Amino acid sequence: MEYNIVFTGVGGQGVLLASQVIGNAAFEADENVRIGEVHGMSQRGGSVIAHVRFGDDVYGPMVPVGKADVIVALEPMEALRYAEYLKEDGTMVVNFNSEDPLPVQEGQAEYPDEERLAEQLESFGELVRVDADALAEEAGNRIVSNSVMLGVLQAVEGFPLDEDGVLDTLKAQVPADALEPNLKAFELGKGEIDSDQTAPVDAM
Amino acid sequence: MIEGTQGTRKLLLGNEAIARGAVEGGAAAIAAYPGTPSTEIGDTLRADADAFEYYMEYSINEKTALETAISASQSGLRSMAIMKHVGINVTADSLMSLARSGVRGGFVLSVADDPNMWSSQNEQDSRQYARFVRMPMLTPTSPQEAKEMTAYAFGLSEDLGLPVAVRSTTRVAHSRGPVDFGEVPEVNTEGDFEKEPERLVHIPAHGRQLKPKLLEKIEAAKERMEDLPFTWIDEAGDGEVGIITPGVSYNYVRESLDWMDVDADLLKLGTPYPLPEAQVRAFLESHEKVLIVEELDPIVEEAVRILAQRHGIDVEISGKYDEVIPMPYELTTERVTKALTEYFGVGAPFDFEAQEEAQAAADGDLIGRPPQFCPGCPHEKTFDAIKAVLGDDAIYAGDIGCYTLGVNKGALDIQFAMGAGTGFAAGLAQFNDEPILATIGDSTFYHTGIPGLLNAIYNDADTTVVVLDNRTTAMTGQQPNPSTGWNAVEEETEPMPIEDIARAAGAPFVEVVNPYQSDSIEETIEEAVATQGTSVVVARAPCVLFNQDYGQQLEEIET
Repeated sequence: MEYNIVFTGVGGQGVLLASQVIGNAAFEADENVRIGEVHGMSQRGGSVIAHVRFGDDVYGPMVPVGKADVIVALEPMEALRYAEYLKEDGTMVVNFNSEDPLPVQEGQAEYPDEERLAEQLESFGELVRVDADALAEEAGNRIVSNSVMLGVLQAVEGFPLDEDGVLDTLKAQVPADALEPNLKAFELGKGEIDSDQTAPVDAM
Repeated sequence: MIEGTQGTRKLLLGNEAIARGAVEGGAAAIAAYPGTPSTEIGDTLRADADAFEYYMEYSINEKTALETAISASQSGLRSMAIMKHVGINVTADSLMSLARSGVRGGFVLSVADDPNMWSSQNEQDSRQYARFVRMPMLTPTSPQEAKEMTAYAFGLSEDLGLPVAVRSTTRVAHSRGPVDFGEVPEVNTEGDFEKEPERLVHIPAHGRQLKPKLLEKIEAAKERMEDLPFTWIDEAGDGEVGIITPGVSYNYVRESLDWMDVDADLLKLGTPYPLPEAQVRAFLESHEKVLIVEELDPIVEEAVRILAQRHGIDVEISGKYDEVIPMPYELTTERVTKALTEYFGVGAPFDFEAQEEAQAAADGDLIGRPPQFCPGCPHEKTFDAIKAVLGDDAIYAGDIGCYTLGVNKGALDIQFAMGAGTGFAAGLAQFNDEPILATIGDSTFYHTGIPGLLNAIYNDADTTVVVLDNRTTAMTGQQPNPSTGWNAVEEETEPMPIEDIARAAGAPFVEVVNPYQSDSIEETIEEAVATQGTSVVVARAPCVLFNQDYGQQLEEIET
């Protein structure tokens, strides 16, 4: 058995933290876990990817191309950048709020059209569009959008980790004063997928 | 992070696991120069230094780190030097002699390679150094094995009388996995150096005696490797095809075979050098075909081919020489799966081609997110001033650090290796009429930038060296260096002002400027360029990230 998740987003969005919450939750559940990260040049504003894998058949730290059960993306263009990791019937949960790269900020390039992005993403697998930034704000702070996405991940059909275990590691990894918005964000995220149908509750 | 009693189980980064391995191996002395992907080994040992007995230093470069660790070893203490792959180049002179002298206390060279060049200028394969230097090497597949190998290497080093390297790669160093803690032994930190000039003084007469001794030790190492606990055979096949795979490649082969649902015997090697020849020979003799799957250079493959030729073994060997396994970049499960499906002549378990085509189509819409200066970075201000003064009319030599991003400002025309920029500034000035300006950071200046500056001054090169002094080794995560005012274990030290070094060396023009005062920095650069001979401008302001965390502790440098 193996379960593979690719986390992606832009430096500063909490991609590595989100991956470590899930990695630690799997570790606490006595799973054979590997997390793959790249440190160094991935500074603020750069593209970030983290691989989380667990199960008896897992050896290396990187999800092979075509084997991700879920891609959790904090930014839509970053979801597309790593879409090839998704397996055929995999799910992408994507925060559909764009972060403009420097060439866009400087007017040298245009951010891709959102509907076109969504269409391309759908060619790789099932797409769940989430307005994680709005839900994070509803939870009390925009920076907890990564916890919104963890909640969405929790609700994906077949996600094998126990919710209490994930919440325990989330509690252990965020500062005490930031706990409440993070927990609320997780709860709001969970509501984005109807657990009976796996389809998004409301498309944006 | 690495504190804990025997039986503790933690989810650790590979580099944290290596740090724990050093502690379990009884290291009494640790010396490191930070460099991705090795940095967190030193950072972890530094952060936990209070909990253990070892001496810990950040050295000014890898060579001095090696020499500190050698000194501990020759004083009878277990020691470890930590660096990234290119750091070995800096140590090479002393490292060659170390193998010939041998060790007293167990000596471990902890090195991290960077296949795919995620944060490096090249992907040189440190295993080449193992056979070049004649230094046994262990290559881990996982954080757990990285810890075990590091701890084991100290005893192995003492048993063989040789330095032992533990070489990880980015995908071990920067991966997390469960790690089981072992026992931490009592550590003696009192050195007792013994005078043994025949072994430790490398005059030619001694060198001639030491060479055959080294060759004997390597023969003993080969024998010892036959019982290495990190080498094993996964038996699964029918004896037709066998695969030999060292280090991290084992993970990819294991996953590929499972994915493809193909059986083959697998010899997982814990060492690329020296090979356990009897074990490998028996594996070759019991298979019709053998494939070697390894990352980067064909080190194991060459040794296997030589072994087969020497013993006249009738086996079909494949690997990089017949292009079954690709030579450049890191391996992945998908790359290995593609190679193995072709090698075994079976169908791919996944339609990689269609997926790659879909990704290529999507890539057309993607916009890159190249690394950039942090908001408010003083280096960026300095580059803006340099460009305002010289535009495109100068030749710019550069160096390794955050400020390599000067390339995006059109202020970097040649950049090779740590400290090379000052050397190029000295050289370029002798052969070109344009103004020559070099940029170099504080840590890199102390590392290997000083000899280039001295060479420029001594040979009267008409050049300008701008030292971007942000008071820390910023690129790798804000480690202290001689500009900071404290050392690895946060003991106060006297900062070593770069301008004092330049003045002492006789530079005709030396000024210190604040990068945030754009008028005066531009004026100073103009003056420096106009001055005949080697000019030095120190552009000093703390790294913005470092200042957030340590600004309170940081004292002004007064000169």
